[in-house]
Amino acid sequence: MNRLKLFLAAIVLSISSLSNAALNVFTCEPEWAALAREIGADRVRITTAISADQDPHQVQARPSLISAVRQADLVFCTGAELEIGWLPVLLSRAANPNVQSAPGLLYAADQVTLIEKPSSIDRADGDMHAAGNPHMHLDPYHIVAVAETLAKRLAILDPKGRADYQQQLDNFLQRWQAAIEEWEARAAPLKDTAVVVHHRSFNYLLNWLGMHVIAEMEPKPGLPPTPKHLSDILSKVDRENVRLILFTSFNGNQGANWLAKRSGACAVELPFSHEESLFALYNELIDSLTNSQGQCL
Amino acid sequence: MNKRLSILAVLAGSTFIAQHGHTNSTDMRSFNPAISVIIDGLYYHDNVDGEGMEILEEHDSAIHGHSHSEHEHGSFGKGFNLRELELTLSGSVDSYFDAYATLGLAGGEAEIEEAWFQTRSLPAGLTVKGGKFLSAIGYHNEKHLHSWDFADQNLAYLNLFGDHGLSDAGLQLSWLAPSSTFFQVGAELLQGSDLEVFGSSLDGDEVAEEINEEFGPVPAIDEDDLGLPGRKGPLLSVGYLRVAPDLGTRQALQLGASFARHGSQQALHEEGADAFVSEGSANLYGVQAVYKRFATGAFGQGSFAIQAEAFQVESDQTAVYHTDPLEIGAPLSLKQQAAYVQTVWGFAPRWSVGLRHAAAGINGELVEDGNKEEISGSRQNSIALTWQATEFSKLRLQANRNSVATDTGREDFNQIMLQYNMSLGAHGAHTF
Repeated sequence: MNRLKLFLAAIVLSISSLSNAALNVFTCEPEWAALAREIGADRVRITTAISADQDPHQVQARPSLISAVRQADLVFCTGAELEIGWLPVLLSRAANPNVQSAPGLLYAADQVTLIEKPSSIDRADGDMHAAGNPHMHLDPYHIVAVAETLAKRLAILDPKGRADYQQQLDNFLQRWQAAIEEWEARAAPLKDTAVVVHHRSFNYLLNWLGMHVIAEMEPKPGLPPTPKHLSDILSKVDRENVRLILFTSFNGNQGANWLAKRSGACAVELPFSHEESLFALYNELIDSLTNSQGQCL
Repeated sequence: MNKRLSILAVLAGSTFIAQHGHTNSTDMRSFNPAISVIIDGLYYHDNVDGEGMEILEEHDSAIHGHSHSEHEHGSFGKGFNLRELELTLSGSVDSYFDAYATLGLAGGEAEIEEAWFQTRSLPAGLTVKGGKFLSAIGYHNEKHLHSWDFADQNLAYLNLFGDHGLSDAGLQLSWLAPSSTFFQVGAELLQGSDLEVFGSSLDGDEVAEEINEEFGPVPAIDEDDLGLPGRKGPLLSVGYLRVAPDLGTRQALQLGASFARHGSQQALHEEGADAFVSEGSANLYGVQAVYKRFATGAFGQGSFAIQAEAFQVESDQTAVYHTDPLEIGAPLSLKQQAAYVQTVWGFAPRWSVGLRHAAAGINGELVEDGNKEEISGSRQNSIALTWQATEFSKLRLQANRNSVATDTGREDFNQIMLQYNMSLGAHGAHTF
């Protein structure tokens, strides 16, 4: 009986601990948590579904996520089918009428124009996203568009915070624009560099920096590299003098290391997201690329 | 015939919708309803002349379930078996309701496995579900065959709910607490008149005929002489509780308990020269624990899951008919337990291995008018190796070692299955 009381007390406590912030924001990916923290500051309490080193395609709708969505005032995700395996489950099980559609539901991908929108969909072509490449958080100009929409959304959901959100948006955009200029200057030598990637995770980043992908290690999106496909790429790497092979932690490093060992190019692990700060994410990306270019060219 | 025609109509209609959707828009979110077709089949072999599944279904049990021949698509024989074609339609009805329907097609027969609607915009964390659905009792019960970690139903579920699990028409109300700890309670009221084992009923005509043929009572009896109450539902009520603390992004734990009560459990017993029919209410208690560690590597590498469930069933019945008229009204009580534990480990990208131990008829006993009969337990050990090419296809090799108590003694035998499971259409849900 005492245990039951303790248990109920724990539940009541965990309910009351939520009352400090004005809004509960549930984000699917850590990059949106970082952005929501910039714009919402202490008016928002943020829960994120995954850590920065986890694959956003492969998430289970675990019970604690259902509880988090149950309590959310805003569900803020990438969209474009990136979370198609798990976000619909969360939304239907969370019994929260406020986040089933706008303004309580915000998809970042809907705020920008996506690249690589396929003209036809066939699963034989791999894991295709009909709406286009969803990994749009790696284009810093897209972040601007999403930040602006987010500030408006937060103001609709929490009108008392309107001035705060606007101020935090202005502040963020000012620092962000300055940072973009700095990143672009630092990354200028990377322009026109040819690279091999594991998955289409970094195509927005590479487009932004004027780099180009000559091959993907996945024979088709979502399928693991095969020896035959890797050896085809190897000849391309030699022919086109590719120096950088890019992957992220949840891809595994086997394919990249295999290629690097045989070609003399460098296997470079790039972060895909960052829990704390978008500035830190982009800084690490630019650092990794420029450092490895220095070492490998 | 009608059934087949309507299936064809549904298939034709779905093709139309799919093509229509395809030309209009490439955005999957605009597809309504989402359609998926799952093909499941296996190559089966055992060392008891292909009778392995029948022996498992006839294991010694305190609950005498009646056999539903139309439900037995889990019974596969030696060689190739196309087990099931599962057609699922799901989507939002409007801004208030979601709906979901699954048809299972097997052996030329169609069965509505599930067809339900569910609210999506009730306040206060409430959800109402209505229609025919898989009960939220236990943990494994809500999972469809295609998302099982093993090729076959575990022996504990087979012992209590049958091959399909507990699925019935009714209503479900659930409440999700507003807390960071997942805390969900729910209640179901189900018709309960067509269950396979727990809560199973007798067909009066059939039973009367069987007694007349085998025991020859004078005068011959008919259905009314059996004294079975009319089966007016709803007969089954279910309550459940699930709790899951927030353990961060890399692991999850869920604990649960469930309770079910059926108003009219019925059975036919044969004892030497006598036969009798018993009827009474039955209670079921269940506890479960599930722990998962999520993959850290590519394609499921490093994932780990362990789940365990245990059930106890108890029933107090009376002999409503007996070939010896003096015994009519004699009390009968029964109880028994069933449990399983299983674990699955993603040891390499795309590859996983599962181990399962299941037991049925544990501590089983049947007390009839003061005479106690002990039930012999049955056990099953399984190992499964699964290769998942993508989220949409998997191949599985499974071996079972069974020790089954039957009417004619203990049967020790082995089974081996090579299963394929292919999913077309809508993206499957990554449910916990």
